[in-house]
Amino acid sequence: MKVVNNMARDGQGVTEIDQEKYDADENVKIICLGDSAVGKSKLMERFLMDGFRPQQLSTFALTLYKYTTTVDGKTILVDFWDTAGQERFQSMHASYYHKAHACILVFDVQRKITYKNLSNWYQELREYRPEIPCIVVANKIDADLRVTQKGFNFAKKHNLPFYFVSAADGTNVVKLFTDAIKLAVSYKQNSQDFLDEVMRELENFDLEKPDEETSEDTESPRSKDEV
Amino acid sequence: MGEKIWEQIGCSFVQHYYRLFDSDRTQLKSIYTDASCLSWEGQHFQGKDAIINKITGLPFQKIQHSITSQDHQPTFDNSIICMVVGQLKADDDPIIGFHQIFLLKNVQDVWVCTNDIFRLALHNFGCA
Repeated sequence: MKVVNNMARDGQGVTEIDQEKYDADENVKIICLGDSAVGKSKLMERFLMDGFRPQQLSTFALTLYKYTTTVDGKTILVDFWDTAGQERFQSMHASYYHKAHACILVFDVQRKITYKNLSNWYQELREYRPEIPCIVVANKIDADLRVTQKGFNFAKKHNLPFYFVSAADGTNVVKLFTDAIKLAVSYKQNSQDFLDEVMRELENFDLEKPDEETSEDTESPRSKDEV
Repeated sequence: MGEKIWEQIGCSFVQHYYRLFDSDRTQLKSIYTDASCLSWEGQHFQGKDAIINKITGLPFQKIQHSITSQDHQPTFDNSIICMVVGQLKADDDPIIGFHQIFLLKNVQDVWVCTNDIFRLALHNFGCA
């Protein structure tokens, strides 16, 4: 394995994926999981917009999105890991999960199977990373806002934060990613506090309007219906 | 006529295979036998039914293969071994490289694929 690692290190963009760096205080790694075509990359691109610097590491099993932000006055360098689409052909490699500090688990509200498959993804995640914060994300709510009145029981069952978002119109996208970053940072600092805070807040949370657009009032109270 | 017979057979098989794969994967059943083996990203399948179930069950709507290179050799028992290097694009995902090897055998005047080995050209790394 040593040889392979050394070869990898000589190749393109390889310093970017040297996972040792994730041990440093200022570096966090956040992974995206979920079926193909649920909009993982679209969400990322929506969030990063102008500051968007994707690195298509084409011979590696990922796309890397880098982002710099400030949390509690400290500069944090975030690497978002997105798959290269290999989940259609194989199961994810352990290195994808390695040293991750938070996970964004996405499904498509328009395709039931992607919601069903959450439990497979979650199970695999927990095999490698039993403790890291995991956020459940219902994407593509712009297609039919009534879905936001449904309860999606998966997140509740596992006591995970849950967000309705739209990569297409930007609803909740910024909130999702800023919360994910804070969760990753607080996990690194061994703190449960922020997770508790997020869970409390989401209990009483109404849908935010899209970031850039002022749309009509589309907010609707969440009911306790199950899917 | 520099092209050897195994080159011709190998090339037309490869062309046929990816044309079917990209247009209607269910039709690939005809190229395998009940003794054929498929290794797909390290998973093993034997027999045309198991193989075709795997291939048709892959979760994408559209797929496109582009062949970068192919090499063919005759074997001592009159089979043909083919190695393909190429790129593929599934739905809207990024383009990914792949390698595929086929062993072709002539059974009662028909060329069938007895062995098929597929790998994406993706590298993992950095896992202690």
